[in-house]
Amino acid sequence: MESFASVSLSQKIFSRLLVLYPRGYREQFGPHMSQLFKDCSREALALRGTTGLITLWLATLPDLFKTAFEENFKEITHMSKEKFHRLGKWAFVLGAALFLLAFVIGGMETSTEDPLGGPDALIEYFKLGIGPLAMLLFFVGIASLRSAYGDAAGSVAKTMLSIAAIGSLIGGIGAIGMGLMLSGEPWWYLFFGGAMFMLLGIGVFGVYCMQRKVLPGLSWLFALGGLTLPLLSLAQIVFQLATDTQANPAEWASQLALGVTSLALLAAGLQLQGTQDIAPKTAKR
Amino acid sequence: MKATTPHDLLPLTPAVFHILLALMDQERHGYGIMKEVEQQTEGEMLLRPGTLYQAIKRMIELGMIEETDDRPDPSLDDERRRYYRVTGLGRKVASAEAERLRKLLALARNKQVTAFGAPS
Repeated sequence: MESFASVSLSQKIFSRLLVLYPRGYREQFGPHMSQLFKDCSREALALRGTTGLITLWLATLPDLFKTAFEENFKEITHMSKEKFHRLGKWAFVLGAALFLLAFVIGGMETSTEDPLGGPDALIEYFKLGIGPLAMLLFFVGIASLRSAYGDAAGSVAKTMLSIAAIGSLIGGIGAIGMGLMLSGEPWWYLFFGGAMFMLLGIGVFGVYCMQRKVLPGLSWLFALGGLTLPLLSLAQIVFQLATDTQANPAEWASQLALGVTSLALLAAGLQLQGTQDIAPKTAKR
Repeated sequence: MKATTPHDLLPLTPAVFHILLALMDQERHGYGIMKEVEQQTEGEMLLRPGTLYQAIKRMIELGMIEETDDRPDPSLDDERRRYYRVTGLGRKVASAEAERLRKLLALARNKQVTAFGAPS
């Protein structure tokens, strides 16, 4: 009778301690763990009496604390990652929307004096804050893309997304410099160079996604949105070197490239909302 | 969360491999697994409830084992006990792990590493 009471008390205390585990885990395995501990208590008591029960507790408690900590940690990091990916996808959409907005507004008043040869008013709006904000949003979006799909897209694509993220930060710094009206050209080149690396990184990521069939149906949008402007710039540089002139592309070509870029990135970001994250191929046991 | 090939899941932790081995010949509940592992390792590995169910959770998520409602002898059993059985993937993973360990052992023997330490 006394042994039955000891086992019952032992199980009750153990069941109370299961509160240390995350709720979902507790609901799924709590009753079975409790039953298992009851069996162990019964066996320990039958074999070695109270000493056996105390020894069982001394061995079980560290194991319980350790695994409860690990499960809670997993729960927290898993939730944080999910939230970060959700937030990042929206940040990408907003970044692309601001890019598009700047393009539309910029298209209303144009000149051909900037190095891209495109709408100069775009630069003015970037100076007012759209640029830094768009770049910051792109940074968050690219970081979450890297976290959610980087492993599936491969190491090169992952590295290119890192370059894209760094590019967005550099571009953002350049845009802030322009916004603060700091003396002209270096800030413009910082912004322009950062934006080009950002787009190139996104574009190459898109190409690798197409190759590996990651994000089917929208990977081509990343490739198109990311590569259009860098390819135009490359064509411009090649043309200038070949002809030994400072000729810029026609304004319509620049505007078309900006439009394609912003629309493709916006469409990619919107379609991204409905996609699932892809877990790394090699999961930890 | 399920792996594409058994090799994606290697190497296994000792606890996971022993649980798979314990379930190879028959379905078992938690306590049954614990006792079988204790027996098959001659008492060297004692799985506690936390470690055991943490491994079981992970193995279910990865598709290596699954819960079953079947009970070998319902009259002898408590409904609160949950039985587990190894899946096809679980069997393949166990084979792949055994093969990995066989190669590792062959390498150790080739280097003349014995149970008592490295060659002098």
